[in-house]
Amino acid sequence: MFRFTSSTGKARSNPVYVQGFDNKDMDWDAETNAGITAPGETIVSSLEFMRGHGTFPDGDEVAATVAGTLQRVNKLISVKPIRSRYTPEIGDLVVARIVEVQPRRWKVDANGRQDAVLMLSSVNLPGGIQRRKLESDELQMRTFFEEGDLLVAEVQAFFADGAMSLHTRSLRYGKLRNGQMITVPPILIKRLKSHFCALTCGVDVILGINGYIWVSKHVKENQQVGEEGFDAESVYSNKNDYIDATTRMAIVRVSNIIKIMARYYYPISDIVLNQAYDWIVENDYELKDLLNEDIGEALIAAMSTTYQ
Amino acid sequence: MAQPSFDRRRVNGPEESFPPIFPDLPAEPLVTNGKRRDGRALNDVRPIFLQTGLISQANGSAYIETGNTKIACAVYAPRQLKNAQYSDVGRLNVEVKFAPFSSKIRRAHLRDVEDRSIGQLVYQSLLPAVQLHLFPKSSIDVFITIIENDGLESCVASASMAASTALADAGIEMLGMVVSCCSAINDDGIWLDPDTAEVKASRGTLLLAGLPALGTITNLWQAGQITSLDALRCIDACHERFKDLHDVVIDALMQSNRAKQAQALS
Repeated sequence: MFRFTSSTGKARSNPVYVQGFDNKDMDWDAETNAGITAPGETIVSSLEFMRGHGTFPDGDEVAATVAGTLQRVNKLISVKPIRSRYTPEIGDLVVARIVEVQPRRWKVDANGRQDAVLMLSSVNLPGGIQRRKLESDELQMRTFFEEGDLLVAEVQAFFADGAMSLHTRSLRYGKLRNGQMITVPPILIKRLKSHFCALTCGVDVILGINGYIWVSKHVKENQQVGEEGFDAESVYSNKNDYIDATTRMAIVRVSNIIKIMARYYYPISDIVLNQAYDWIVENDYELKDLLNEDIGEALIAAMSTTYQ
Repeated sequence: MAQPSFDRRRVNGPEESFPPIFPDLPAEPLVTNGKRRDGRALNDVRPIFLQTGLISQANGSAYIETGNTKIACAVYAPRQLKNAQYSDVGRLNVEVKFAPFSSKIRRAHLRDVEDRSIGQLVYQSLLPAVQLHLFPKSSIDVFITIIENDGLESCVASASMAASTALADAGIEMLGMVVSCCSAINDDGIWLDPDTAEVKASRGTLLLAGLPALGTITNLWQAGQITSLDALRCIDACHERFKDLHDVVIDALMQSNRAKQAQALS
């Protein structure tokens, strides 16, 4: 790559040079490009600001490397890409799928840049027995998790190469059953107080921050973790419970709502899902029509007007 | 192009066949009164349609149409390198495939040499823009399908632009958007963005790719007989169009993202 000397100036479509940056709510230049940068676009002077992720130094200026929104923390400027893979942080709740069983560890697909790792030492034994994992446990790893199994876990740590290490050392985490998984762009899932949501329609939803969502049959009050009816032996079970027709319909309805929201790039939370579900029931739409374009548009329109 | 080998897993054509016979029409002059057959001036490029997000499975995608040239590009990235040694930097893979019906002569199903050489040219155009050092252990896979081909040079140029748009759509970090323009030199002068017939009638062709945001160029491809002075004139002519092409690319990117963003923030 060499400098093109015969050209007089640089071609820039939207010179969004930011003066002073005094607007606290970042609505600079809002009319012209809605605060979205393009790769190679100059953002600010590097003399005044520090540059973070998604930027590179271009002489005395800071330019963006991704198409995304500008974010500023004091003097630090970074660009958050609009579409990207999930960037893990420690403590995040993720829904993931086992792709490989290896010695003492599972390789897990968690929508990140690299496969995540679930160590044998960071899972619970069936029945919640506390002891060191023995060689015998290593030999029967497939009785815990097999290839293709879905699980809910927490990001525990990072390896030197940036791969994430997961753990399921809580009775709330572990193998998933009685439901279905939907994939959405990770940016749509905001961090909530709890990502285990029990919707009013009698369906449980686990909103993985990595963009994988698990929709399943509701676990009854008295069978939840720590209650009397909790069956510690069945945490690694591969068999679904009996799910009646109404629950199945509710699960599919919630899944379809999530698919609609992903299609229209609408942020997903338990409140939004409850509202959307009520709206669908109120308007008495058939389950099979939900993914029609006009119903989806009407839902999003109703969500953005009535429920704001 | 003849089928390289008989593939019994496919539905093969009859053993013997004859091409249709067309009457010899008098050839239309390529240029009349300084206008080309589609009515544009010598230094005009064909109108461009560029849109992102048409391939939903891919992490990023773009579709480009310039005149008859139609190209779809899908980006799957970053993906973890499987069964490979640890590497500090990512790897950029560009694969180009002609659809069987894309050219005047039916293409074989298998990849041929031309696919690979075009892939190399697109790869070279994109490589300086992509920040591979930020993607350790990963590969960035770009798949380009040429749906219709009208001028090989314009295919390379359009494919480079579609690929950089798709990379930006996938959220891959880049130093800037890659744009590319091609030209053919003839006795009449320099023709920008030539189609197949115009390339055939020309003495030589030249393709230029670069990052207008940085004012740098990333790739230069010259074929045929061109004097060095003519080559420089071609470069200047191509470079003059860079700003317009850059605007088109940025606009396509903004159009798609703006719509999504508006909804994500609402």
